[in-house]
Amino acid sequence: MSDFISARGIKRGLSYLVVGGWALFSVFFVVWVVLASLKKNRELFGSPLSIPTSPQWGNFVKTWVNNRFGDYFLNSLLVTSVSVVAILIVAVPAAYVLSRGRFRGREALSSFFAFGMGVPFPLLFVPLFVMMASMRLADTLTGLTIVYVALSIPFTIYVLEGFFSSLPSELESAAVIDGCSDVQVFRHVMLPLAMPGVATVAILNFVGLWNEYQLSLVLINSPENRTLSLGIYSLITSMQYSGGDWASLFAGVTIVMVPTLILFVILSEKMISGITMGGVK
Amino acid sequence: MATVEIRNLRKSFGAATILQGADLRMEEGEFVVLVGPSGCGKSTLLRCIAGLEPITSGNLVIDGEDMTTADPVKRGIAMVFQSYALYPHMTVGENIGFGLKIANTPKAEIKARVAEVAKLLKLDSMLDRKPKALSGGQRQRVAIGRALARKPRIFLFDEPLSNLDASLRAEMRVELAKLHGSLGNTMVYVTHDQVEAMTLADRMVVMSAGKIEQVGAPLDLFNNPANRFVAGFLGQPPMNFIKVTGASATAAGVALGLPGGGTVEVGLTAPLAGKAEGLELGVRPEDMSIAPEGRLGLEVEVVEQLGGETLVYGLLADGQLITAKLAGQAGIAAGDRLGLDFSEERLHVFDAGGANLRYRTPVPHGKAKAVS
Repeated sequence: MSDFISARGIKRGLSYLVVGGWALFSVFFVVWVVLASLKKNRELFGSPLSIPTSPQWGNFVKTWVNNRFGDYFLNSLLVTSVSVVAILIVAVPAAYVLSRGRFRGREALSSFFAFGMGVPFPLLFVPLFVMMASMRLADTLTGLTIVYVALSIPFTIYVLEGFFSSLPSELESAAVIDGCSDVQVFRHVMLPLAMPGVATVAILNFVGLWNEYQLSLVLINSPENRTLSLGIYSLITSMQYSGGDWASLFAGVTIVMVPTLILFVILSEKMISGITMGGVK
Repeated sequence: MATVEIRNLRKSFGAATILQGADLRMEEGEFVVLVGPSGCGKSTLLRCIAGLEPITSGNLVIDGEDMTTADPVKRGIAMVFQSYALYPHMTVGENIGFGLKIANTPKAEIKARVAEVAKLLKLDSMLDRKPKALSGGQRQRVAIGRALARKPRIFLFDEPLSNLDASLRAEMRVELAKLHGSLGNTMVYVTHDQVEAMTLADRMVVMSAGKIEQVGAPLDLFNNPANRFVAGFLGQPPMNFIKVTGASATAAGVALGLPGGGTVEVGLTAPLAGKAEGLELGVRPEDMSIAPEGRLGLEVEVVEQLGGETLVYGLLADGQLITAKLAGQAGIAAGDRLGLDFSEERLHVFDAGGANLRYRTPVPHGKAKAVS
């Protein structure tokens, strides 16, 4: 018995060590980037691990205004928010129907969406660009949003299908007996119960699209349409000529991180409950 | 109140036939209990009546109107589920009033009806609570309240008490019986618990493997089972089926040879001709009594003293295992040899196909139809 307990203890200790080490590693670099963004360039290289003596808030102003991060931020916010809303509008009802509907070809359709997750994005760069260009949507935020929505739907449906399947079917039957139509069952009963799952996919999609780089690089050309990830890249490129304003770069990275961090702080509990709920299935 | 008529109802899921042609008529205000072992199709039959499962063939008629393909809401039914199926994101009040809200009932009317139902079920102090803050019994009352609120013609119950502990189950059973008495609605109740079935039912429908085996008042079914399945299913401990050593027709009926050399002569209601092989004698454990010169000799293996009664498990002369239920605290121990006897009137005789050869045709009411 004591052997069993000690083996369990070692296993648990090891898990804490790995997870704790990983968390420490991530937090260290996030904190370091934030601190670095508040330093002067000379201070950054002179004492990289120190706390900034006089915080240089001007780095943020410079990045926001001079490097056009304000515009990029708004572009990213617009594209990501509209995409996430559109993804949910399409994927939530679709996932519900695919998990609960009784119709011929349901499984084939589910598999088709799952297959969509397996397609590597780089394979799609050229065809997507050609399609967008032919529709005059290349180099537009609308075009980028449409591509984001289309490519995020398979994953979102896959995750939400699991959520809907884990909800007890008797609740649906009870709602039908209470006089609900199919749409009313979804709206009044199943959707509210799937909210943890919906929140989870909303956050995962928001974070994924907020940080997305490759597709926006292929589809966006004009500086005024750049998203934040392209903005960071253009900042790095411009540093080759300006001599390296690293503090501004870190201010830019901090600006990119902030919305994601805020989202995690507010919704992490809901998301974790959502992930475990889906895991039960 | 409403009548429900099921005519040759069949239900299949793909190639699997779950209901093999059920015929049943439920009268106005009747409490009908569908009972049978797990997988016999009783819940499927209930869901077909509710409209939750499409009927493969046959008809469902409610109050003379064909409802075979009607939407659940048009059938005038309400249903209480085994898992309560309360909406977890709604309060007790919202759960009870949900059906009325969907039917676009004015808010004031919903509020009044919810208050009325809550008072009836003693839920008025917890209308603002969510289901997770309620005990099992309270949740069950909310589920019943939700069914009551819509004033349905027919109530359907799908094993509503099976998630409750034994004492709460007994309490709720009484509550349900009272509710039926006060409302007078037609109620259809599914259970595999024969105590619930026997105590609640006006009529019981015993089902097995997708077929209705027998329909009748609980005591009629207990005393006059149509076949071996019904006889074995009702009663706890179940009926003993003793393989006889021989059978010969007599003027009164049949003389049966018992293990150990005894004989018993009983009258039959069905002809014996061609059925003498493989006969079994059905004796309920409680119909046995100790008699030193009894016709059955028993070698006692296990004795269970239950206080008010004693269960004796033992072997007959040819090794058949039987159970006797004796009144009081009998002074018997494992290894004892007992003589047991029984009264001939309480005996049943089953042929090799399971039919009861002493079955008396009951007053026609609901009719069972076995479809092969």
